[in-house]
Amino acid sequence: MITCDAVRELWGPYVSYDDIARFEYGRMLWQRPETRARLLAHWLDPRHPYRERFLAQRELIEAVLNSQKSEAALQRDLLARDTSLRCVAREIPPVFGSFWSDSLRSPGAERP
Amino acid sequence: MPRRELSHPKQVENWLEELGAQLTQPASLILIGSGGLLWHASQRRVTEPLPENSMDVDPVTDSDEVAALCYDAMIGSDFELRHGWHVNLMPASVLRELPTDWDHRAGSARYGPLTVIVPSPADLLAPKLRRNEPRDRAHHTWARAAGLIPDEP
Repeated sequence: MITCDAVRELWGPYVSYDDIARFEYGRMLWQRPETRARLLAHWLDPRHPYRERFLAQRELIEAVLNSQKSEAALQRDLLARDTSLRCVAREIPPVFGSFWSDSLRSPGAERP
Repeated sequence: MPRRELSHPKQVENWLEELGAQLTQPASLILIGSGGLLWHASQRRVTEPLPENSMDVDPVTDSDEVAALCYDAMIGSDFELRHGWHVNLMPASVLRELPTDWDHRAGSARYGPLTVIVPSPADLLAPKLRRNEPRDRAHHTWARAAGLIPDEP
């Protein structure tokens, strides 16, 4: 059971459920090799407006998505790196439905 | 452009049937928000459309297969183009917005391998009544008229 205090402690007093959803489902889908390949192809697609931003933070974002740690443990690690779960979740690029299906045709293709 | 928003109870039922048919293994989702109200209405064979319409459904799931299918139905997707509304995955922590013990009062149904759990109409309406926007009040009135919640004394 998720308590209000636990959510507030991790995500701050003004919770953005969209950010949490991007983190939770991003992490869940990252564990599926085919979906991970699609996410990468999508985020690296030249049409993706956050492509450069993703490239700049790629190592950290991938580390968070790969992590099997609890949210609380992840938060401790991120605070030690002078960031936070809330900040990193915000950096996970969104998925745009308008060209998400294109990643199905070329999953894993890291476009230039 | 014809209006193809989410307002008819059967639309949610049809989507869940479509979703369940695509799954290869047992999975579950919890449906909240106005999509959940429409599900309850569909169970009661209500045909009166939801006022003010809705543009999305808000499921919570712990299944990666369901989540992947929901990603294919997000805003801007072909799914949205076809249906006129989209799927907006919500995190499990959003369930804290519901009254305590909502799961004891929830309804559920199976769609092939998919188990759908829907908080009771009164529990779904509680966060809406806290927000208390005109659309939230309209949904409350509709739910009462549809017999989803008891008439106020």
